[in-house]
Amino acid sequence: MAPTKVEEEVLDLVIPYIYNVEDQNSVSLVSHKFYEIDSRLSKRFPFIESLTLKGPPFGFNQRYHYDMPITPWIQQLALEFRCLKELHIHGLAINDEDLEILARTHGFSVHLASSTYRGFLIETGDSTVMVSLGDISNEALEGVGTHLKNMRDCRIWLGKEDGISDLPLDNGVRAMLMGCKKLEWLDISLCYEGLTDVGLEYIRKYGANLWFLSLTCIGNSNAGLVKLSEGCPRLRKLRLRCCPFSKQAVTSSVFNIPTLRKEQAEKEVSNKRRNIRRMVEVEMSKMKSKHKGKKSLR
Amino acid sequence: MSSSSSSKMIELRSSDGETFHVEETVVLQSETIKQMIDDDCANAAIPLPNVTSMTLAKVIEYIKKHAEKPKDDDDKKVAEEDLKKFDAEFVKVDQESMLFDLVRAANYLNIKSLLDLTCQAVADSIKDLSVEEVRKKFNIQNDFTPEEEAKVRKENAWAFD
Repeated sequence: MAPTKVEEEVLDLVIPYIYNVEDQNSVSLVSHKFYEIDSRLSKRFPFIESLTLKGPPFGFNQRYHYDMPITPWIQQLALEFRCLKELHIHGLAINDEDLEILARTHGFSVHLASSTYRGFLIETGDSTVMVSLGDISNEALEGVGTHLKNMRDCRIWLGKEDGISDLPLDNGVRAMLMGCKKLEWLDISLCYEGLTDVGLEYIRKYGANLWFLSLTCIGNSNAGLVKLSEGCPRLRKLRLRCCPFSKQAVTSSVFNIPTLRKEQAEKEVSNKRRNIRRMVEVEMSKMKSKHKGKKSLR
Repeated sequence: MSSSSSSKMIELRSSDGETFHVEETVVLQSETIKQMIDDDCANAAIPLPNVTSMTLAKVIEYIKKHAEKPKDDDDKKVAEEDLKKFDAEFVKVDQESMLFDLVRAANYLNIKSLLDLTCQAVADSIKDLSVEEVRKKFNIQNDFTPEEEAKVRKENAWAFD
């Protein structure tokens, strides 16, 4: 191999000081050598503790990043990044296999996050990983419950029904809640029949540490909400959107949950500057008056 | 300036044979030289075959300035401001090759603050340059075929913020 030229040596040393991504790209594209240096992240920074992998911005080009394989990264992380404590993945698809590798090799709490329309997002303060829609299934949620025991925040968003045949996700949500006992924040946005009253009962039963709960298009009757209100002793904030519950059911069930009731009372006496996150918020505007004859044959 | 007249002097010899005498307390900012002293290899002049006299003079100017100790807290603030100004002026060199030499010397001598300062100056000078301009600046041959280059550009295209 030819001896390193002075300028190349300098550029090599300077790379860690280039923070602008476009400038980094300009450097990594100058020659094979620098392209490889750029891709040998673990050799350059063997003691890296926190890594963020980002896809394109949300809405940029939906097609583009579905093709973006993240598995090679995950495999590399498993092999080389021994000091890694945090992993944030935004806007990239990750599958069950990736999660298993991460859980097995690093055992840190991975948090899933989907920033995509068709995605599935779970995140916590530590790390973020995204799971794409194709993976939303009861089995995938079970996998989350098995591998991500420390997960505190979970967001599951579903845009369209196509691609999922595995509805409702009641059993998957149960498995996830049973595994992720530390879960404090749960935001589920599904479609009709995505999560039924049965699923709400599981949330009641296993959501012991839930502090925030947001439900969009969840449940099939008032009974589901009533069931839910009998559990979740720590709930401080409940958000309901497009759920088939009557206003009356919402009003009465909210006061069933002691912490919500207390918060509601506190809210009344406190001024608006009080920490907004502690308040109860029940959005009723978009609620359907009642579940209108959509009962499916299950 | 440093008043410790009792400090031991260390002799450094540049690649072009010029010798420099620097106080040990000052020169210890270089991890490389510190190691040599610790290993008892610094009884004679320390040869620095990778550093020219011009570069070494600049490096010594830098470590001397950074070795100055403020007398009290008031002085400390002034000294910090003064040091910032000094650093900013220090990397304003006429020849880019001098900056490159300083990067290499800082790396070889293992002076972390100087390496940070000079590398950041070079990194800032790369800002907003195209691939072609970076190649030119660092005298690097493009060894990609047009097909390869198109491919890697595409690969990189998604990796922005």
